[in-house]
Amino acid sequence: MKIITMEPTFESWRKNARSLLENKIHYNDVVWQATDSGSLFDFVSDSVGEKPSSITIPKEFIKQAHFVSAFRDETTWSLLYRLLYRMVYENKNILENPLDDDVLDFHRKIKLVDRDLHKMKAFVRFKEIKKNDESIYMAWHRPDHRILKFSAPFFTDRFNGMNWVIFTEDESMSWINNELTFGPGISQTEAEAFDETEELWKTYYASIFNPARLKIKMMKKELPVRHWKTLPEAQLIDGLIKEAPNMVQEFYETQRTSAIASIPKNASSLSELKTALPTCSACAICSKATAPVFGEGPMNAEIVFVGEQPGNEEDIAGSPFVGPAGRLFMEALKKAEINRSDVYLTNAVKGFKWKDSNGMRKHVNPSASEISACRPWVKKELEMIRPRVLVCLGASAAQSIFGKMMKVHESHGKVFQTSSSDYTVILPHPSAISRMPDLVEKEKMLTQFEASIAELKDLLEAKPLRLLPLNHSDFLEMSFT
Amino acid sequence: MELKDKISILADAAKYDASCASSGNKRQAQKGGIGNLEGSGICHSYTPDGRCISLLKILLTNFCIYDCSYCVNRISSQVKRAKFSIQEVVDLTMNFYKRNYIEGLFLSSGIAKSSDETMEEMIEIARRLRVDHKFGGYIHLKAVAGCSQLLLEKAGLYADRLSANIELPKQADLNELAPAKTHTEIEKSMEQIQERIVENKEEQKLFKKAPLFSPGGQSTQMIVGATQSTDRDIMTKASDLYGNFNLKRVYYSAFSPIPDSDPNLPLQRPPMIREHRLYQTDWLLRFYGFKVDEVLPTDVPELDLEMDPKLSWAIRNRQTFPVDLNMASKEVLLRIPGLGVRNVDKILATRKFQKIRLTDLAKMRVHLDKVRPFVVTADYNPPITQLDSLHFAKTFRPEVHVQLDLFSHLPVSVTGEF
Repeated sequence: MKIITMEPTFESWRKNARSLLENKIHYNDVVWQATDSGSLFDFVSDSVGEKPSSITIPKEFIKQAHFVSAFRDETTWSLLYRLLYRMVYENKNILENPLDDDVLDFHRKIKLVDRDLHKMKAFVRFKEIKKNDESIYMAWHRPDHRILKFSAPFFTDRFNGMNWVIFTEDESMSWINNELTFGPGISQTEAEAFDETEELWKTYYASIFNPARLKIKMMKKELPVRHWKTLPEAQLIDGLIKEAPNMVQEFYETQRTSAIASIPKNASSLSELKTALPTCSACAICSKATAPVFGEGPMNAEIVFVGEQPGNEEDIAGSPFVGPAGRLFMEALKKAEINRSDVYLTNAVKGFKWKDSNGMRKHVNPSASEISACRPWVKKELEMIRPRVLVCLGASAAQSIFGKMMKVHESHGKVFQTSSSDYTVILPHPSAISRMPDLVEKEKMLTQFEASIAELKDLLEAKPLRLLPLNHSDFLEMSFT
Repeated sequence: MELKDKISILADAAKYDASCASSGNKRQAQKGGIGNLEGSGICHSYTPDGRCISLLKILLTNFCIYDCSYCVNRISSQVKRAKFSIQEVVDLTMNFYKRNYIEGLFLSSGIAKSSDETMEEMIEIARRLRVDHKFGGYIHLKAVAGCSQLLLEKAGLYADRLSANIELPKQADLNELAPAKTHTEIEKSMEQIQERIVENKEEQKLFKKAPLFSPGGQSTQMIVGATQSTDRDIMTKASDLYGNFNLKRVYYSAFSPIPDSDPNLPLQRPPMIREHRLYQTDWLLRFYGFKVDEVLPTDVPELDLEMDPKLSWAIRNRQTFPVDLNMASKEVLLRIPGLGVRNVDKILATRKFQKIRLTDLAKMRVHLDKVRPFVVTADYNPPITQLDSLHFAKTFRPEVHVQLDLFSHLPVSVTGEF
């Protein structure tokens, strides 16, 4: 039995293995013992000064064996020798048999060292240390295996333009002014430093976490707890896990009631919807209004007009479009020879939203969230009526129908295809005209509005869209002034 | 607003995009520059949701004119809003990268004014990183819905990857939840990106120095569980997208509770096991030679949550088993439940040296109970009646069926992990 005592470096293993192999010493007759510490500069030498050997070993194996030698474990050296011996004296293709026990162990170790190297590339955390105008980036990492030197090509390339030092417990590596040097290690406490950017990183970490999908096992598998001590973000983990159920609970508890809950599932008439409307509590508007104002008109209407919300007079009368803006609108309908009773009139938001202004109820625009809360009612109305032509009066109506903020003036003259109607158009809300202070501009707007209303009838007579050649865009633009 | 608050709002707003990949491109750092790409990305950290942090994933702004029900940033949501300046994103990316927190930047945005204006700002961020800072790390830019072709072409010159989200598997789903978006428009962006990538590969052949265009390809994301669309609908769409636009990845994102969620879209526990099964199916389509019609035939439109899709396919197609591990071709081996691509390669390599026995499977750490009924080895023949048994499928099901009840005290109901 031969006992080999050597430094735990690949180079000393290689020298010993070479002479054992030349003397054909069987692997069962060798015991490998490594001393505690090894040289820091364990690179494969060019074998200068060695007498040429008659035995040739595949370069690929030497490369892989060098890599495996980083594995911190007593049995690695004997495994490497056993494989070498078997390759030379028993079966030169041994490495190609993936299920041979030694080959399995060899590959397992390659994989583990590789994983450790990968984790080092992932988990090294630099801290910026500023001195005068210069910065140096310092990290302390605890790898499982002796991999520091293998990580050098990665760090010198990736952080080429920086000066940095990476410490481990037993060795260190630095890149200063484009020069790589290795040196002794230090303990983690010696490497402590403060870097304010860590606070931003921790903020990011906490905010990118989704508390609704805890998968702690999965996280621990990929972010092993033994590395947490060197990761600034890991301090947050326990707190985030603890808080997660409360955060999700809050999402559930603060979710507002849906209008859908108040809409009768099998409703077949508009009057059924109208009856159900007062039970809706999807927003707070109606509780401050006299009563919600439902749409008006026949279920077989060919044109539907959607306004914004009832105003003061509509709220009192319980009918849409009966206030000042409504009267202006009715005038335009009359000029176009369209009967109010033939069309369906409704609003994106069913209640009057107002604030007190010197004892008067003053109109307040509904918020995007209120428009969205009331949308199921509008959708249901349109689903029942299925209008040929759908007219959004103003931005709120357009937002309700399109699910997107639309610019009213830019939409002028366009016909859109929406899921509610093949002919959807956007016109300014009549109140925008009635409130226009500039009289010349007001006159212009009114003329244009009335002309647009008159043209709706032409649109009614147009052929169904699907018979027209569609261009690529789903938003079909037609001439419509 | 302080930078810290912006990060907190705009990372929170970005987390529902599942993609965090930083793979698909290799690049050495410029001399004196910062940043390279190794080919396969590095996950620098993991959050307790089991997701990796590879990229700094943020929105430029969460102001948005769209009202897509499932989205935390929709106009009707009452969440806090913020916007980064262009330089803030550039500096944050560099500062995080230099500390080795990230592989690069994944930048998306709400649409604050117009699609083009938003896209232009995003491109400027990428340009400053690449040009002013010689940044060689990963950049993934989201193609903002409806932005012009010209801008997509510009974005691809700085980005390693571009992506346009398909959002939901069917147009009907979009009509329901995101009426302002259409598959036609989204796929038009994908097509434009794809055409440019193909063109660019030709340019590369002619001129080595032709600037690269989105060399890491493009990807997309589909939200799962917000509508009634079936797994078959989802995988059919995914398979079409892989085929038509040569996508690198389709991501499936379980619809998850969000703050101030749309009351019209009921909150539910995110269907994480379903999401997992969809990814498994995705793998079967891309690496195992399966077709959607095999894994999800018309009469089985939903995946079995209790068993993986390959096992479930094998049980439905028992007539093709058992398979002799010492004889079968690679294509056939790949269809055996419990065998992955790597183990199939190992079996093929080992066959040159020896016969495959059950102990060899154990050495490869194959789950023997799962594989045994489907294979013949040198030392093993499955009992002839086993595959014919009516109760065969039952042997694979967990003994106690755990209902994933919302308020259950069982840990599985919280974590979704079995």
